[in-house]
Amino acid sequence: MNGLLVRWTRRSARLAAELALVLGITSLLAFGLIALAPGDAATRLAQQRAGHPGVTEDQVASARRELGMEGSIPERYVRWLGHAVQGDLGKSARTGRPVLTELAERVPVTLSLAGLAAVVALPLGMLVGALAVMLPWRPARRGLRLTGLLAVSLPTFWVSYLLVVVLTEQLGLLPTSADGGLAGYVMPVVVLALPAVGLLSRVVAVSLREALAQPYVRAAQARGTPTVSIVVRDALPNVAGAVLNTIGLIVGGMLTGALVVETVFAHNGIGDYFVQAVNFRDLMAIQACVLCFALAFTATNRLADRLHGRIDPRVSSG
Amino acid sequence: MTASGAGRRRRTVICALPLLGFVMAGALAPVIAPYDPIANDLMASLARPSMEHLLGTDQLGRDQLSRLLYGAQASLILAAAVLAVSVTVGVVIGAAGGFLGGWPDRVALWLMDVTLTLPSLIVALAILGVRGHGSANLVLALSLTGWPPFARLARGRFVSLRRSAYFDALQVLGASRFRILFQHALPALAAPVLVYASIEIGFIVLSLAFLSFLGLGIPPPEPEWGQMLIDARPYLDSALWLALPPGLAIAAVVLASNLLAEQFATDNLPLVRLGMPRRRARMNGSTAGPYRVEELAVAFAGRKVVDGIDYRVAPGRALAIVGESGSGKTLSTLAPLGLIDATARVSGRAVLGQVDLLGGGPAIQEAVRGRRVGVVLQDARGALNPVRTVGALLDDAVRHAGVVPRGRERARSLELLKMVGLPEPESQVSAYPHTLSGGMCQRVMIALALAGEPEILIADEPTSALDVTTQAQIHALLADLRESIGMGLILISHDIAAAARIADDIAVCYAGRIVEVGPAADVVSRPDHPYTRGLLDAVPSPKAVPGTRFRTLPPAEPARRKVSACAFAPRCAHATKRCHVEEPPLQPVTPGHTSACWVRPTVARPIGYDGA
Ligand code: SF4
Repeated sequence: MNGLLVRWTRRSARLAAELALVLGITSLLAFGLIALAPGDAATRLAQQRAGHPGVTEDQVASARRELGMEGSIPERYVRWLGHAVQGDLGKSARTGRPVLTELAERVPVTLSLAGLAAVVALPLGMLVGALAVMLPWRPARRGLRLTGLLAVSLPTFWVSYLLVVVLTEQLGLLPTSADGGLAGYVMPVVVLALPAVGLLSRVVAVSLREALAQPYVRAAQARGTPTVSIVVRDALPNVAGAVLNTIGLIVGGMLTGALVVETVFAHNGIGDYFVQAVNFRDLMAIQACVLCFALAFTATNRLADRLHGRIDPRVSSG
Repeated sequence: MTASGAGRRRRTVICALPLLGFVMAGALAPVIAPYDPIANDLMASLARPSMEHLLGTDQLGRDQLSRLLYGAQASLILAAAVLAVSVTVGVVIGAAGGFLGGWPDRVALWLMDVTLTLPSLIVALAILGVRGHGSANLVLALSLTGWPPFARLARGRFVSLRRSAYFDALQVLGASRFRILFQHALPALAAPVLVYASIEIGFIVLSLAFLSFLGLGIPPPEPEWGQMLIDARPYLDSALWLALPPGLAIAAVVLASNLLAEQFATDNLPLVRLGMPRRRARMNGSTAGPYRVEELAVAFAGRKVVDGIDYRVAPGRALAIVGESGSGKTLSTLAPLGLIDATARVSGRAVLGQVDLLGGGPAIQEAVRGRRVGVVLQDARGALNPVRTVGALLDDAVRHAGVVPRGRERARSLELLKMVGLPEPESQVSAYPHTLSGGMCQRVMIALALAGEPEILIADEPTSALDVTTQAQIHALLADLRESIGMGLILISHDIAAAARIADDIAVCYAGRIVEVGPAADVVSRPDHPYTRGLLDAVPSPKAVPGTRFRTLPPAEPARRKVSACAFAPRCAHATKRCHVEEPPLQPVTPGHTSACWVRPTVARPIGYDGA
């Protein structure tokens, strides 16, 4: 009983420490980003706020204060962190609204796009990858391999263009924007899912081949274990491990894809917001987006690590 | 082996071709481009491909071929700059970590790990957003996440250099540390860095197109592939010649990089084929009677590696097949079960009871494996799936063998573990293989092989990974089991002395043939074939100088074997002319003991070996 309590306390302490570390690093990254801005950032913000290039000393000073560019760097960081913890990430230079509010409006759009794409890509990628190894006909295996690699090699925006031209302009099948209801989601989800399917299929194929080359697969064959059982019990955990290890790449790819897709298909998600912020050099908005991406990113990575430990006893007992 | 190596090289070259084309196009653009890429010619706006404009012109009448070539140049310049920065930063960080060790190394490793997990394009965008557009920022943005592969390479080299005795020797000779670095580590890095750089090129080209799309790439009117795609967007349904060439160019370069990357990731992976799921063949078990293998031949790509092998094992008897690695001893036992590479051609007969394992296709073999024939493989630890417990593995094997009613598997598993002498079977069923010792793993393997109560147990070098004491224990266990269960045992071994202690009969395998076979005692005490004598001499004896395991047998050479000759002739101290032109058949030495040798040195005269 006592031992259980100790273990539980220890585990939650470790979790808390880990969380603190992740948050610390993420915040440092986001904060450090502003420090990379060239010296005229405050002037630029003042000009952006005023809407014209002629600005007074006062306006620049208040812009500097807003950017948190006063005092020593540690001082700035603590001040910034204090505000961030209270949910104050500053105001957008482009719209003048609080960044956090704007983000909150946009996150659900991106989440639903990426979520749908993941739901499509995960089973499809696994299937294509498995077929690329298991099909008995060599040209078919090669074809699937090439298709998988091609899917990650094409510029996503170009694929989007081609889809729009064929499906919307020539066949009139699908609307191009979010206004089209659910139908408006088809093309963006396909474009988002495509590179994910490609990447997944390759990861699955390579790790499956690796798993099937393991001596324990031959040993299982030697025992007369049925093929289905070998694939499910012996190879799949290995493949799942490899997929979990590339979760970061997949999530990163989805984020990058979201930037393109939301721009082309006019979905007001966080990707679209980020692109506008970058083009406007809206520092506060960029910083908030980066913070948001980094949190999503580390969270999925940690979750993947956890799952991996569950599947493979060697990972956790290390 | 060499054939597949050449194939791989050829494939690598093919993958690299588009990259080479890209570099050439970029470098030679000013020379070979027929027009100025930014010169408008509104008279020739949107011209179709023709002799004048091979790829047509765009809405401003600019020559598309020239723009394509100059676009390659733009990407190439950016790639060169990004790679120069990435390689320099990477090599410096990696070299510092690898060479200094200690905390600098830990910091370097941590930096690499963190950077590798970052989504590069998002980072690049954030940098461009904060610092503004422009080529210097573009290079910075892309290099920021590009250096870790190079750091990893450099670190590897420098760690091994630091640990090498060679480095100590150079230092003792008074060479300065820096001289050593520059002369010995950096040149060795050139080739792998080049490979990684060509993989990075694809990523840079794709990134540039992506950034152009977001308006952050190379500003128009300078030609760039991504920008060309965007410019072609309004004419996609009317002027397809605008959109296709740049799109295909990007796809080709990026695909080539990806293919190259995968080529290196999957090098040296053998292709294993699993049978497609099918109904199991039924086999009614008319048992008793020996397992007979006759005229077995195995060929890879038309080359016979096993030829005309015959052996038989009666219930309760043990046969050892001995030979050096590559002699065909493993192939000749596993081929009848369908457990060798799927590309092999196997012919002959392998009769168990009344069934010919080689006459009924894979279904028969699958039905036999794990039920009537058990197999124990060389490396027991590798043969146990690391993510499954001992109990789960055994339960599965018992279930597939179908020897006990469903639900009773665990009881049978425990029984099997007791049979193979695993201490505390009740607690070991929940253990993972990596917590067991090598000997224990092998015992578990044997238990797995026994799950189907097989008539024949094949053990392929079951002790090769174990220490001497454990080896003896496992051998004793196998001998015990054979007697108590009454199954036939086939032991594959390179150690003829150990084999003789367990087996009733010994067959000596050389170059895919059996060259001597007979009762174990006979073969060991009165070996006839010069190769068998060599093997016996090769057995470590107390008199042998330590470390000289194979005292008298000259090394095997990979020489192509002549079709009609004694395969052993090139290594044989007794070879005569006849040995080189005619293959000796198996001839009786004493009843039940045969040997394939023309000279019969036992009969002729005592033997003195030369050769070291
Ligand atoms: S046949 Fe000739 S070459 Fe072959 S083992 Fe006998 S003596 Fe040596």
